[in-house]
Amino acid sequence: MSSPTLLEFDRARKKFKITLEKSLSNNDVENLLGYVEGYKDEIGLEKRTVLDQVFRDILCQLITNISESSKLKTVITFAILAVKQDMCSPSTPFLMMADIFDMLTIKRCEEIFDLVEDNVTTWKSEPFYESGKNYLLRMCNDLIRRLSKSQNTVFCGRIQLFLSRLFPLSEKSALNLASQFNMENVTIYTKQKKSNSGETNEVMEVDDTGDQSSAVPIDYHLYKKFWALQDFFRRPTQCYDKSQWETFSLNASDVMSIFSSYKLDDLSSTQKKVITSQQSHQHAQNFFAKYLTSEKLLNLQLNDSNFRRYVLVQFLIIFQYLKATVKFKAQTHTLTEEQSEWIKDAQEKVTKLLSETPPHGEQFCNSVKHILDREEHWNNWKNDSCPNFIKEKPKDQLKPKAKPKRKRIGDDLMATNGKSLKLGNPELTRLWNLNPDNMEAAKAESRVFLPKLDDFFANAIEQADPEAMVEEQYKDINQQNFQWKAYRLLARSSPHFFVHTNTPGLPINVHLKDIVDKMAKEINPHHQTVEPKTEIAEQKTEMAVGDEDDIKEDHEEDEMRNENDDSNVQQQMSSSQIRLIAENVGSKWIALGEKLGLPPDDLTYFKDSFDGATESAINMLTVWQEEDTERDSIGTIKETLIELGLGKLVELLSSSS
Amino acid sequence: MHLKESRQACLYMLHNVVYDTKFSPCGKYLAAANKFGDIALFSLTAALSPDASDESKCPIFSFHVYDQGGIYSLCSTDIFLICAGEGDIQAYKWSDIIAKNPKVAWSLSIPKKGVFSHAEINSCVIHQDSSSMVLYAGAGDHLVHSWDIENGSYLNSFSGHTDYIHSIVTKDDGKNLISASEDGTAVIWDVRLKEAAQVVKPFENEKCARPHIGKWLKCLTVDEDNYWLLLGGGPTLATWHLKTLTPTATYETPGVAQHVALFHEDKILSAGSSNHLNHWSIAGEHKMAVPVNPSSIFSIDINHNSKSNKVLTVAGSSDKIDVCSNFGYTAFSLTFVPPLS
Repeated sequence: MSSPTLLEFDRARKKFKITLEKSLSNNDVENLLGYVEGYKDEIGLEKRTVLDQVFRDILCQLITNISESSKLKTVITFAILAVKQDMCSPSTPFLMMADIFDMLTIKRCEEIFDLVEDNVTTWKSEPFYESGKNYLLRMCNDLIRRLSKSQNTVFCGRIQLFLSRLFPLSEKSALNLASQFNMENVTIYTKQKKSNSGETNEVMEVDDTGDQSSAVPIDYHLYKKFWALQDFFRRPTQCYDKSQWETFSLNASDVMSIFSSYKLDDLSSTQKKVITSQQSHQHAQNFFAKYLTSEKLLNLQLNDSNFRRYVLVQFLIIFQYLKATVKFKAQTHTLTEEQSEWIKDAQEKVTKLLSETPPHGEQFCNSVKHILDREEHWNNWKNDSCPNFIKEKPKDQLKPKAKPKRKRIGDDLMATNGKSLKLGNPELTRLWNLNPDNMEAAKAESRVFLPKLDDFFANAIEQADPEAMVEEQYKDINQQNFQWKAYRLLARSSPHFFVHTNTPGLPINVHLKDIVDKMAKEINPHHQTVEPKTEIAEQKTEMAVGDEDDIKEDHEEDEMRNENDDSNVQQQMSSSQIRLIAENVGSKWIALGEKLGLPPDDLTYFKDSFDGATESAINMLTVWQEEDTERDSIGTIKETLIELGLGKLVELLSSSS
Repeated sequence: MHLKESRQACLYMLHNVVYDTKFSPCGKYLAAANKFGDIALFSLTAALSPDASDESKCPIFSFHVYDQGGIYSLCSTDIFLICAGEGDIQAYKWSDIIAKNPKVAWSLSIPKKGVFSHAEINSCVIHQDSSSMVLYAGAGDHLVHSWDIENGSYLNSFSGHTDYIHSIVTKDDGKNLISASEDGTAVIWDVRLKEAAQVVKPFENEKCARPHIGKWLKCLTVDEDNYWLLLGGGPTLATWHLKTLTPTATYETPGVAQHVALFHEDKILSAGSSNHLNHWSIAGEHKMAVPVNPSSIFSIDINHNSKSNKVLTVAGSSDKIDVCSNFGYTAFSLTFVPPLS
């Protein structure tokens, strides 16, 4: 069984290999993929397995050849493309890369690593991510383990950056969750010098062989204090111990006072430009992963502004840690008031020193402050047990709102073909949609506020009757309000107004009296027949007339309100109305839906989901109406129906409401 | 005995003034002269060693030179340490001092003008070349005296100052001598002609004059190339161009007189009547003010005799002599007062 398979496999392997080699030399992946695609064998071999194997075979050849870095990249690129075409298994490129980085020297790894970096989007896409993330992580970790943290800092950084790009932001596996310190970062320094024989009895000795080992005088006092600090920086929790704190604060004060005594020159400002540019070049270069602690270097280090900055920043970091509330600090890890006070002072002092340290001290100091502020945020984030960065919407917001986005006035108008216009406010919308034709609306009966001449003057005429025995002062015609209104009304609608133009100068009330008399004669030539009225009744009337305006207004308002209520009711279709429409529309409901601006998808949905046209129409109308509760549904529906030639239905609908 | 010691310790602690210090030719020791007429010897090697204790910062040996007053000036040759002050000039062999057995090798006295005149010597320098070794001493009698110390004979005096002399230096391989005096003038003497060649009067120069402090000159230094002259005191410290005798840069220390100054690499270190050691650029830019223990400073010196002990010492009115390994800060202090036992 197995032997023919093996044979086939070997045959395919050879052929593939030759094609792959050819493709590699021509840099033509299509050739390879086309060949594999078209390759037929007798037993239906799993071509993916063959191609996987061939890729690795080729790699084996290339990897030993030092000059072929670019070829390695090409072969990986081929593999990626093959995976994309589903012609080899997704893990193949990863296995190949792992092999490469295992085999090559660090220098060459660094050259090839940009391939990994460039393809980060590929790795993140399917099917690569799921099958490859663990390979990549393992590969990177293996690589980092090989690198020296002090020699290959740039490469280390590249790998770290790559990993942070590869994994999602919420990936917490690389996080120092428990805020542990890097205890391995021990700074070793000369604690006790080898005892110098003869020093004790030096007075008698004038030998020249004395201490020639150190070429410069060394301040061992400072040296010890200075480097002893590093252990506190390594493990800040020591500071909470009382005796340790003493040491720390003493050493720190000494170092700070030395820094403040020994000011550094701003070289960049005094030196010539050429040197400055050289320095800035150096600036980019100078980086130490670890302090050099030889006692002979101390003096030079004190002269070095960068070195000073490192130390000062370390101070700021430890102060921040000591002050901050960190979830993983033990109960006993709290500062006394005195200590907090000291830290506060020291912090100020260090900040001052930092801003005094050239070059660009102020700027540097501000950046450090900014970074430390950030650090505080991270700390708080950890204290809050690392909440997710992606903010979930609150549950109630998850439902799409009735009005998800702000619509423009025109949108609605367009959607309903000018039948309905929404003005953003239900009341405005209602008013706008009262009547599609504004002129028509203005002519409506309800808008005629002008009283009829007869009605208006009825009272006055009555009062003018001497039989009514109304006293002069109570007569309407003597009321200013009445006079004014009467004149306005007369001017509009009575011929009597113009009669007396030839005799001007008549007081208004007299003039009005004349008119009223005339009108009385016109209206009722037999005014004698008017029944005499009791005084009380007349007074009542009078009062009523006096308040006429108010009453009128009130009445109007009432009317308006009634209209309001009416239209509020009418704006939305009731379920019975919907049913009515649905039943009468029949098979035309789809046309109605289209006219109403519902998308075809929805219409299809309604059609498929419900039995019969009526049910579908009912559901469609209900949904449409609920879609926008502020719309004047009835108005829109009516117009639409008219457009569809269903005028009868509109009448039916109106009568039903 | 114990009482006497503790009294002396107290006296030293409160009133000690160190007027001058000198490093031994081997560079391992420091001799400090104080106003009580004592010379104290400190071991720099011990004080700079990694396991230095408090004791190693105390004098390993001290001896009395003058009874009637202080030692104002020290100078050193390869063999001798020469003390000058309120009394005769006395020379001790370094080897004897280091062996804790000082003996006066020779002594010189300035010619007396009268029975009661005991002119003090404020400054002395030795000029040594292949043929001769001459000691100059600027004294309180307004004169600079000179001796040939090969044979101890008195050579001559330089007269011209109208007040006592604060400091003297030699320049141009001993062809010239400069003296600075209380009268406000610095005189450049031609040694061979034995007369004043030029006179500098900083108190008359508008850049330097500070009449409210005085016109006296104490600070006097010449750079290695004999190009610049540093003059200070009452007037502001300034570098004077020796060819033209004009001040080129001033070192402003408002209200503070500068007593001592020296050229170090491309910088000038100066100190005076305040507890700060100033670092200047030659151009007059103030670089640093290093706080030190002495409230008034009379001596600053760099140990060029031993590379491993190349430190800066700052001494003055204090029982402490500050030692700076890096010149920017005080590493530790040598002290006259032994720690309380």
